[in-house]
Amino acid sequence: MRTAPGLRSSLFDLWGCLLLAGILLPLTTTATSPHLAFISPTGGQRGTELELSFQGERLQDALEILGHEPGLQVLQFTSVVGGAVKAQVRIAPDCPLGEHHLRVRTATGLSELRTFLVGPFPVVEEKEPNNTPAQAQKVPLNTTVTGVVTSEDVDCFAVQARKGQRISAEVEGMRLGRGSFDPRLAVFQPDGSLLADIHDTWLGLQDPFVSFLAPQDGTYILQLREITYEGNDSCHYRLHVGTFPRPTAVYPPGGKTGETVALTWFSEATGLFTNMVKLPNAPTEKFGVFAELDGQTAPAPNWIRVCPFSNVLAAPPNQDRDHATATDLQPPLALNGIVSKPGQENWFRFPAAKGLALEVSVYARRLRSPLDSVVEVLDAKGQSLAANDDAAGPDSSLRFTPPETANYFVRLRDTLGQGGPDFFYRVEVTPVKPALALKIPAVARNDSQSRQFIVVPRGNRFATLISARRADFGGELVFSLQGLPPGVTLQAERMAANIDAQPLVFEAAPDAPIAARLLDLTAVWTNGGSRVTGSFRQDVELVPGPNNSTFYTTSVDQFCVAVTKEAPFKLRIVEPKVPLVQAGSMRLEIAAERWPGFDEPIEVQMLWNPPGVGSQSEATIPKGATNVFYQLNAAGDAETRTWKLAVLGHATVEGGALYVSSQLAPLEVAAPFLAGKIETLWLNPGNSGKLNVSLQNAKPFEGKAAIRLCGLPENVSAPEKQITKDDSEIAFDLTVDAKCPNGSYRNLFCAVDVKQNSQVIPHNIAFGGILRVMPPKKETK
Amino acid sequence: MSAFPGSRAGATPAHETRVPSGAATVAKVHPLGMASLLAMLIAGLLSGAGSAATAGAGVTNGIPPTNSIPATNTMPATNIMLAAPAAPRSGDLPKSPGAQPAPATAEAQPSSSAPLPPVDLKCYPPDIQLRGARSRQGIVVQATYADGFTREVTALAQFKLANRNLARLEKAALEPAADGKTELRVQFEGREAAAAVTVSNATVQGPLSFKLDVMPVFMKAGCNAGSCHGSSRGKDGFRLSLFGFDPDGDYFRLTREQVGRRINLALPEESLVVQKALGAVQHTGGVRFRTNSPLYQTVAGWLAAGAPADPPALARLTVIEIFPKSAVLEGTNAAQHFLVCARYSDGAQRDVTPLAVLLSNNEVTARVAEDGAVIAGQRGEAFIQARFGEFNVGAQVIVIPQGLPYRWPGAATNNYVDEAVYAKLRKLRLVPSEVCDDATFLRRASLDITGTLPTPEEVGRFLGEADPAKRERLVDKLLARKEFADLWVMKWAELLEIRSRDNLVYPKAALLYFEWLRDQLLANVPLDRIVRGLLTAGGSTFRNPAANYYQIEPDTQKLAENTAQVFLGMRIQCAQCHNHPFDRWTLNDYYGFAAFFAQVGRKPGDDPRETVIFDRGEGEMKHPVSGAAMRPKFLGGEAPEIKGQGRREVLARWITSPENPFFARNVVNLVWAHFLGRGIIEPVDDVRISNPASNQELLDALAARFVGCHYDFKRLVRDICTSRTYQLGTRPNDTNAADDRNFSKAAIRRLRAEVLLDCLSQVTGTQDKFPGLPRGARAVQIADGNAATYFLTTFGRASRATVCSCEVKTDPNLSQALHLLNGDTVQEKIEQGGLVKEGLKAGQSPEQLIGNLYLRCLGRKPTGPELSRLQGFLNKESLEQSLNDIFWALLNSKEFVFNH
Repeated sequence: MRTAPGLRSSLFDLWGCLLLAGILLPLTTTATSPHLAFISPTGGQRGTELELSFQGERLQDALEILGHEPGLQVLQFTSVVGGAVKAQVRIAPDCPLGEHHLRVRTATGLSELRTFLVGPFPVVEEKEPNNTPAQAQKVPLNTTVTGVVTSEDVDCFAVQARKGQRISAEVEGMRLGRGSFDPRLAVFQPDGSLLADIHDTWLGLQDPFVSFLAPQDGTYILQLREITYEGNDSCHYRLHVGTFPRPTAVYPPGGKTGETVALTWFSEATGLFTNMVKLPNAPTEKFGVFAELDGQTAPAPNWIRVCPFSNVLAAPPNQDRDHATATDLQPPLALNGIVSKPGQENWFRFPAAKGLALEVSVYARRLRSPLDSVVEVLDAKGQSLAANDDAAGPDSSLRFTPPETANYFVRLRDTLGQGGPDFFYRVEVTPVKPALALKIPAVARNDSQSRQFIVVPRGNRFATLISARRADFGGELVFSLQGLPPGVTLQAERMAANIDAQPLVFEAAPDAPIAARLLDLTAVWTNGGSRVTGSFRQDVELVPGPNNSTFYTTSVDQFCVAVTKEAPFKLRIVEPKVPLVQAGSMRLEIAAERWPGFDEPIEVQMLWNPPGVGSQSEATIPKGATNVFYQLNAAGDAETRTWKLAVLGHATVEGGALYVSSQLAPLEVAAPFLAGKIETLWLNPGNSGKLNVSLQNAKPFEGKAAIRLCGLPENVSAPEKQITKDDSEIAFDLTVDAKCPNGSYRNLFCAVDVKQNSQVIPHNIAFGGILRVMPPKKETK
Repeated sequence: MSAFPGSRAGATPAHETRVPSGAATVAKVHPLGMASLLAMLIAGLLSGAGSAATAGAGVTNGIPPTNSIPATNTMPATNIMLAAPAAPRSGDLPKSPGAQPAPATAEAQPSSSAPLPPVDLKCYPPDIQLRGARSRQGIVVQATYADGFTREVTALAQFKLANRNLARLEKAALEPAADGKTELRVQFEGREAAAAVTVSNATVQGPLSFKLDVMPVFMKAGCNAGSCHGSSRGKDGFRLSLFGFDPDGDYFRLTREQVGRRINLALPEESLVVQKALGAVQHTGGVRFRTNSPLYQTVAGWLAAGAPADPPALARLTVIEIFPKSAVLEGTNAAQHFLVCARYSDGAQRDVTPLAVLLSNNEVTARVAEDGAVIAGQRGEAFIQARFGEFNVGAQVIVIPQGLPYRWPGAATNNYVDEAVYAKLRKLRLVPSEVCDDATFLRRASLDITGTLPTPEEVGRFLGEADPAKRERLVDKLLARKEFADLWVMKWAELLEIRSRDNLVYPKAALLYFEWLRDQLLANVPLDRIVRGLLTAGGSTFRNPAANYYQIEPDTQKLAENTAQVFLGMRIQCAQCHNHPFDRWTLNDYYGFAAFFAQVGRKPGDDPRETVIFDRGEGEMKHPVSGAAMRPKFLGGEAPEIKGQGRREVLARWITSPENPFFARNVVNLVWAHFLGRGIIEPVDDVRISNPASNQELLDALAARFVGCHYDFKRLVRDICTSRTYQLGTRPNDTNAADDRNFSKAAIRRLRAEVLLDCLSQVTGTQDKFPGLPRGARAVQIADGNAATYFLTTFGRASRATVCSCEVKTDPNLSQALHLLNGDTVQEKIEQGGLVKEGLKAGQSPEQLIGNLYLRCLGRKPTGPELSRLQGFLNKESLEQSLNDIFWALLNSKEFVFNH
């Protein structure tokens, strides 16, 4: 799963040659940010060849179809135009079933990720009119129908079955990730009576499925529609119909890495049956397993966990403490069972060592079990030590530290008191361990795919922010990325313990080949003998739901890096020769190098600010201009150290946004050169006076520094003064206009333009000064 | 204002959409000739047709006046006073009712009771208790006569105390003399009645209690009314709790605020509280009582005793009773005294008549005199309400004019429904209207049971049948149709507020909820089981859609209020803030009932549009005054043991138990109101002491039957629809013209919005499209209350925003009339359906087509005069157009728009 096979087109070599020959470089042919809207058809049968159409925008310089999973091979591009890339694709006979994540790579960028489903059955297309049972489209068993449910559309299909024959039908609608399609599937018997009417399933969520033994010979009608009759052109579906097994549950819902386990499946139509399944060697959070029975394979997976520890299987009756399923295994271990009847409790007993904090985590709903768990840990006397209901969505999770080395009990039940043969669960009892996860934070609202990959123009740079979520540890992280495309280097600082995000800058050599790689990005924390490694993961929200929610999300754990054609501009941070001082500010210069003829405005933004440093949200290098100053401010307590910054800039190139970044440039945050204190001054309106500021010089500075009194009310003036490193006091000449309202003005401070290396270091010092404007005292006679 | 064209010209006020003068307007949007057609219709052509047309004819000012139904050619007015044949067994149907007037058999009955001796004598209260030297018990003696009249004969009766040493009889009241037990015997005109008398503590002058003695004075004198000191901010600086919901707070404010002024224990009579009430000092509320009043003596006595607080173990008021429970008074100015007796938790009974507030809901018929006597006024029915403490009770008073000639026609009874209805009619000296004809019955039953019109074929078949039991069979047939369930799903969906709400209930949830309800009703699941399913629902709102009951209304208190209103027909909202002034409910009742829902939990489901309902196992309902966690308590019932059980399960069991006095009555009342146009209790969801049933015996009988048949909804409907009462015509007789609440004739009802639109679509052969439903679905099938069309909104469809039965509006208005006349619905449907065009193409003659249109729209054939006049209207040049115009006119006729 972690290899990056890539779907090279036969055109790739041609493109490569052209690029190497320096042809096709004129700016006018540059396209940026290809957009992939969808892939058509939505899926195919393994072991077949078919033409896939990748529809979108700015695809005319497409070079490759990048696949995150193996098994799909592009034989050739049959047509490449701006709006669509068509490719003849071979689906290998051993291609993994299920969801495949594909992107289009062009000479100038990478597209979003879209999904393509690989199934076991031949595919036929829906043919309208099929709105009524009388018009039902006849389909043979063990077929996948692809179609669309438009507004008020009802699609009917007819299948022949013999009495007693197992008939299964499964819809992939929302799971196609194409659009918000909430399908409803009804099955009518040969006599016209309704056999089943399904909308939601635990396993498929909004996607329905049904599996039954035909009660009579004859034609069965499958009727598919949108649940509220409000379909539209994006309501695509794949309807699998056949004699395949469609289990609602698999048990045990997890196993040990690398082992071959006997998985028992359950569905009402099949009862129980077992498959031997070889589990992957790496722990997998959710591993898809496909049931097989009588030579037929389920078209969609059930989900299990793959962990590096052993299973304990419930030995019924374990419905009370006295009959708890006992194990001698010490954590980590996984307790597996089924709450088979409503109201039932399941009990386990395991030994644990004193003081070793344990995490007890239920995996049920996360694996699409109907169970809504409540878990409780009890000591040997039956005293409750910890309990939890919904710490992990409907699943439960808790921590407890055994007060002594002894046996402990786990009690598990359903919150709603429900139960049944598919209410399976897995309780993982593991020592609390540090964990680390990496991701690129979202940069756009309602768009989880924007800038979630690295596209580096040759001879240029690209930066991304990377965030790290540390759990149960704190410390400095070191990033590592193996297998970058040739000519690409990564500039990454160690991530300080007190920050959880920072920029990574990728730089491509001018002669780096145009190519892409899917990589594993990791970060490591080492502390003596212990080591914590975290990997990158991207959650892709394919179907948005109401209120910023999501109906369907998929995820990939590979980091995508591509080298693209040259960009018409470069960015550089003009590295400051002076520090940014606490409570001070800085105008950071961003310089642009433009290709001749390119004078578009360039928007630049700071990818990240160090702790205690603030900046304007973005700045624009105006049309034709070559630099802009970016305002940075430091808080009074900003940490004093040198950080590395990068700015990301983009300009519109041929209708798309093209991004490049600056280098990773150092920024020193330092203590101020001097401090000060303002003495409180009383003045009458219309009077003048001197306001004294005492100065403490911490560090000598060059020459004279201008000092201004700030925070004065209107109608009060104080001319700027000059100081040197040797001044210990300065007096401002204040003139209070007669119109100045009486009052205390308490926010006075001084702005000092200290110089070093001929550059100005703006300081703000002597905060909290007070000027009191008082009415004149009445003279007493 | 007349909302619909087709009313007789003479009956149309000048300012409304008058069709003759408005014909020009009509002609602008409708083809040539429409105006004359309309004028013809208005001239009474349609309304003068068979009895089915009576609805159209009778409607003049929007709401059809029941006394303006013209005579028809099938039921001459002279038949009205004729009685039905000898009463068949209960459950039998009359043979060809309506078609043949029933022969008279019943003897004329004497109309006055004057010379005959009473048939019964009652002495009230039947059990007299005198406790303490201060106690006094009034006596009322009521005689009942053979014709049902009653008369108070207290002053005329002879009293005899078995042991004269125990009590004194003074002015029809007993006062204690010595402890012991005896009997009071009363004699009048040969009849005798008795009451047991118990005297205790005859010489002991017990202390006056703030809660039991002083608080009732505040109520009686009106001090704690909402307009006076019971206002939430009090009045003129002094606040009492409204109707005394917070006695401890009242005691505190009286005795601890403005010490020495509001009450002055040194000089009790100088206390402001009595000075104000006596009017001795300026008092916005004027004089409330005088020094010789017992009210004054109670307050003054309590102050003189030092205004003591009540001991903690004070007896509680547990119930009050009113005697007699009913009276049928003959002639204006006939008087009847009522007694109000209170019972306490320590077993004591007390005559609280002087302290109780007596109110009449119909002052014209019966008013309450200053001395507490109820005085008869004009003919009618009144309800006398007595309020004391937090309790309200009521008694029924019927007033009949002196010497009214009356003859009961001996109408047949089909079942227990008729027996109960007739019993009441006889009491009121009313005669039921005649039974309607077959065509009317077919149309009425089809619309009421299925919300659809009979097809021309069904009309022909039904009218051609000779089977005397054909109406019964028709009801069975209609009940078996899916449309029956559709109609009731809609009605229950209104009560359950099935609609999407922004970010709370998504359309999918509303749809699934609606479908769940439909499946239950289609499967004829007994209603108690459906309600239990709703109240105990848990889990996902998608997977167990009944759980939406808790999602549509997430507020705990409103949930309790809705539950009471929908399933028990009670509005307890008032008791959220204060004791209900016209019902029994107190704050304790309200918050005790709400406590059943205090532990309902909600959490997100797998789908972002889904919610999971569960019992949290914790959380309490706090009393707003005391802050105490309220123990769940049934409304008007006990606080049950809930340990180890889900609160909602306990509540659901109680609500749907056969012993529950409210649930079955509420459901039968809802159903009755649908079929008869008015609830036995009206409004149907406002059951309260002060809004009594118009026929309690009928309500009880229906409820008993409903419980007896295990809440079988269809059987209930069958009983109602096969009753003779349901089959009565709309035409009034001399006796029942003004009656609109005793079911002596059928009500004329405008079709509700959904049914009207469905009927329009049905007769025009067109389809509608509603959000969330396939094209062709009917308006009654709309799952989401938020999905409406202009037509439905205009015609008063319920938005399902509240549980109130008042959401459905069938009042006519100008928009409706204009929409039918000029709006896009009718005209477009006629054109889309193309019935006339197809008929002409198929070679049908204009006369055949007119006949067919009449059958489709009105369920009858056109009469000869109608047909001949319509023939004159036909234009051979544009035959299709003129037939379409006739179709349009039929759809705009009142006969079409109303169920009659």
